[in-house]
Amino acid sequence: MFYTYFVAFMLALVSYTLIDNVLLSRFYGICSFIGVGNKVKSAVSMGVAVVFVIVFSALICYPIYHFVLMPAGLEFLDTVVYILVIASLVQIVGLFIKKYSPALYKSLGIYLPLITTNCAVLGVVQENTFPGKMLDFPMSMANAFGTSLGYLLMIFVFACIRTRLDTYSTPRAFKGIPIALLTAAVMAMALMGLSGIGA
Amino acid sequence: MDQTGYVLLAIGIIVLLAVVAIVSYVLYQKTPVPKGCENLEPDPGICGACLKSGCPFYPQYHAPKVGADSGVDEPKKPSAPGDKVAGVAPSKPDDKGDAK
Repeated sequence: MFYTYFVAFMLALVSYTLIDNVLLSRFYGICSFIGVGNKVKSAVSMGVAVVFVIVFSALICYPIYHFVLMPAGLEFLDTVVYILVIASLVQIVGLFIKKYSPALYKSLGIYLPLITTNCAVLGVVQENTFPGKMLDFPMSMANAFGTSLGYLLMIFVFACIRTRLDTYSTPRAFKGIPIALLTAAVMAMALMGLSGIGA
Repeated sequence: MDQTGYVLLAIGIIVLLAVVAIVSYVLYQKTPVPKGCENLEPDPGICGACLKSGCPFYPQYHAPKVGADSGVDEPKKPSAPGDKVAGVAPSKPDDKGDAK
């Protein structure tokens, strides 16, 4: 029983990290992916902050939805609750970074407010409690962990590729965002090759 | 707990979350900015793709940039009456441009 559930959990984790990647398959959080994925340090910092916010918002929102909103019949208020939780978490993370890590604040400070509007965060929480496809708690945590790890992994790889691309002579029409989008497309196709694992 | 109790609990939690969000926002604003980070500005090369109108840097980085990396070479204005400008049609029929 435990073994079966553990295998299911690990498969879900791998699936959410690589195959159903939040950026390249579900297309959430593209804005910060393109916007911040230009410098490796900023990208990793952003990825770590997003991991923290996604995991904790999933951890907080799941019990609120299941033990408060559902029994009260107030499921339609879920988005309001989720946004309040995410906004609070982002402000708290920003507060700690501002107070205790000036170096990180310098590289990430201006992008911190963008985590609140990162649709990957809201998307994961909404998916966990989507009517008809509602996940149980371990699977929702697998979704949160897998999605956020997938985000971190892809934004890091993307930043590394873009850093190298900057040193090459790219045709003028492809410089900057166009070549970045083409890179993302190739990365998405590479991840498509993993589909079917565990089927 | 009956339905009314759950509704009251839900309202209480929502109000609590709103208070936490407001307090954390105020604390964030009141926390002094670290030294050397007073005038942080995003690099236009990094922020160029963001199309979120809610982004605080949106107006600054999405204002129309004349001739900035648009992919089209804009004709330069001549600085003197005798200067020749690429892409500008000759004003007289006998003006053939550079003879050499």
